[in-house]
Amino acid sequence: MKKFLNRLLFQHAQKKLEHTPKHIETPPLQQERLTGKLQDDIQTLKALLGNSFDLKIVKFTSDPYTYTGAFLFIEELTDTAVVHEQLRAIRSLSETTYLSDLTPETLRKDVLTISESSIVDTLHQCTSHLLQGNALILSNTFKDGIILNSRKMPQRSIQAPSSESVVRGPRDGFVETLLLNIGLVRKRLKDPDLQLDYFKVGERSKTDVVVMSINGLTNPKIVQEVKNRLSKIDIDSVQESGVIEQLIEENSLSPFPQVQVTERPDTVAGSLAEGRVAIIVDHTPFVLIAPLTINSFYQSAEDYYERWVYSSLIRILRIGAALIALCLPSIYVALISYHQGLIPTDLVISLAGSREGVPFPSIVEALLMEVTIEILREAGIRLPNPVGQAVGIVGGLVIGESAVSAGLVSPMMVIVVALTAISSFALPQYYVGVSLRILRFPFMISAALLGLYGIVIALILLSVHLVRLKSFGVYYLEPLVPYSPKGWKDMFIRTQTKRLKSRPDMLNPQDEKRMRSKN
Amino acid sequence: MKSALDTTRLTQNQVTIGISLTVLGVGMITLPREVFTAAGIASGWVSVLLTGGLAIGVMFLLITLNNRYPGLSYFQYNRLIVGSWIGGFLTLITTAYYITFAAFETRAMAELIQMFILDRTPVSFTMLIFIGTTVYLVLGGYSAIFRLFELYFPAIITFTLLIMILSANQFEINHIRPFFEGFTPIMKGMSATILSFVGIEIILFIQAHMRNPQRVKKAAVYGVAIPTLLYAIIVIMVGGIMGVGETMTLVYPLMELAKSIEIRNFFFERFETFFIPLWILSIFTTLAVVFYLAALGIKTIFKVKKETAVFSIIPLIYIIAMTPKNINEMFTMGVWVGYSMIVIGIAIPLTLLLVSLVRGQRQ
Repeated sequence: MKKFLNRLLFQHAQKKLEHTPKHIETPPLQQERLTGKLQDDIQTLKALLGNSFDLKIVKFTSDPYTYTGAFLFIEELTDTAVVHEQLRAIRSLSETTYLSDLTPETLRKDVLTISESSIVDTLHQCTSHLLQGNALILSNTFKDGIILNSRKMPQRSIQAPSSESVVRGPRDGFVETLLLNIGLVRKRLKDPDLQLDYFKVGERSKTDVVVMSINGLTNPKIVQEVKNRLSKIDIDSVQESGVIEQLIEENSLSPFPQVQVTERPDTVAGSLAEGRVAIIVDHTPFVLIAPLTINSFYQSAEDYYERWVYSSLIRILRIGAALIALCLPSIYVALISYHQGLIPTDLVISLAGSREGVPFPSIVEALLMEVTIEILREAGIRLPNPVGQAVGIVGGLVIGESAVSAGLVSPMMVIVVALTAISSFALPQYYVGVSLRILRFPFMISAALLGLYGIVIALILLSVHLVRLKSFGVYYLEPLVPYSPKGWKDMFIRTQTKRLKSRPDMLNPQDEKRMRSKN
Repeated sequence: MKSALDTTRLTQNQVTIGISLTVLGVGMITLPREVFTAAGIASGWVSVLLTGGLAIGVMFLLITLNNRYPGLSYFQYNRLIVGSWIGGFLTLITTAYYITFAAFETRAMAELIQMFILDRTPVSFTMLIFIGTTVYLVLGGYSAIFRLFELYFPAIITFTLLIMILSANQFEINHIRPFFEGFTPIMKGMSATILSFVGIEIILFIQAHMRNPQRVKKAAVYGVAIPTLLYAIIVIMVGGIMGVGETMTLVYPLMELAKSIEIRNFFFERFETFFIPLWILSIFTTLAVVFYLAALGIKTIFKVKKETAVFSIIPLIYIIAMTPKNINEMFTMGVWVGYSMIVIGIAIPLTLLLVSLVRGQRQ
């Protein structure tokens, strides 16, 4: 028995040892320096990059003697025109000087025509630069290597953002290239205080991430918090800003996003000027803005471009739409199954008539239709555009109409579901609609269990959750609570632009004034 | 500049609203009946105003006590004044009081729900759900509670005033005349209204958490004045519409007032069900504070973690809430909660103040 136990324990311990994650370190070979022997170095680098076929090696001889060198670069990442130009520059050397007379420094300064180049001496640096698309010059006349910045940036042309279209406002959206995205924001904020902090995230993907803030405006605590969380990320690869968003948010169990996502450079520039922080991730057109507060749910960049009365009314409309998207099906269920007495007599008679022959309780009816519409929506997204429309028509009209005539659901239910679905589209940001769509189902279930009381309890739980939620140290419900009357000028209504003299004080900007003059 | 990352301490607004919403609990719905039953005359609203004034006076005395031990709450400084044994005992009975208070609020809410919305759902089920919701809030700490109060406050006040405005057309001035019928009935009315001011003693605990403790007096005055005015308006309106005699026979007079509202050709015909959510909110706010203080007491006495304290009082509250057999016993329980508040929330702290003054103690 004892033996058996021992063996068990021993096995366990052994397993534990096996399972300890090995921290990925740079292999010892990579830390070695370049030897200066051209052929050896090329072989080592080739081996380090897994003998990939796309590592191109262009050799050159510039001297009458046998002093030779080579350009190394990865074909698809590198702008070959740059390499060829530099190659020409080196070849033209032989008329005046010998390669053997030059140190890497003089070669870099006097011969090469490229503006950005540097000197490296370890294999690790060489491989990482090569993988970024830079070209490497090695020669057997000197030990070090020269790195040329020859990165090729494949880029899509700038198009209108598809997830946030506006009637009034700029039409350009972010693309997949980091530098171009930064440029789009910089063009809108020609402020020398605009601060860019560079991070590399992902053990293997080495994705470039840039944190943007404004020196002397953004609250340094928020910037620091963002930087801390970014530097704590431990993951192998990052392909989209969504991964980073989920790794830096406060509460991952919450149905609400805690980081704003946008495709619009003007939204990013506006948020930066408000005192928020933007996180731009390479290879994705979706830029993150932190902190996110509840206001972003129903506010759009457009609100500030339209005149104030219209924007304010639209905001109130959106809040109404959000409430409908959240509560309408559950209120319907509660009224039908518990509180028929609340409905006006005439309406209740026609309702009862329309529900006649419907075999299910109202909650089943509601869930059936809501799930159907979710399926339709999902199908519509995945299909190509023309087919998607056809699915919409087939789904919306045919299923709705025939479900009613088949006696599966009541016509009132179809109205409720349709109104709910349309309302969730009325919100400016897609992901907000998603949160409300998720919450709609627990609301319906609690309404089916406890009627109006269930809805009230669900609302209380929701508000408690929102009150407890924070985004980067800022309360989610600010400036609504804790009360901050300054912030109320730009909340449910947006007052005249000339009245918005100060930035939202929930973000505690170092510079509070938006307008300097007194009146 | 207030810090973005440390905003847990309470603002003046939060303290004002915190006191108001703690005071506005079950009392709001039943107050007119209690006042008219005790006073027997129409000028019950004078009693309400006088009690409100008295409450502000008591508040000032409690604040004087707090100010002698800045940064400490009642549970922490009572042992400094009378030693750790008696202090511990005081903390224990205060905790017991808060647990009973929480049980009363829970039961009162459940009875309201059963009477007006869900007549077939068992009281125990509605209560457990309500307690669970409160636990979720209380785990967020005092800061979350008072921020939530800020969120609910405008809704509660607006809706209550809305009932008054919508029913104003039925108001008859003759119902509440004469305005003055001697002091004795007014005094009697005051004794009944004291029970509706249960909750003012939370200042003993929250002053220590204020961001600017020097503003506490202003916050306290507003905090008591808001419910006092609201109570007075409710008593006047209910008296003016229902009449004194009829009000005495109603269990929930304010609810009956809401029932009497009728707006033709509007989408909803019966309004009172839409005011029930409002009262659920106002009971919830009181329950949350009381629950928090009970958990705080348990935490202080047994030196346990916050979560342990919160979860350990759930069964206690449930059992005590299930004790009253019917609605009358429940109201009797409410009366006893009110009397114990006079002893535990006012008399004992004032005695402590005296002891502290005599001993010349100050932190």
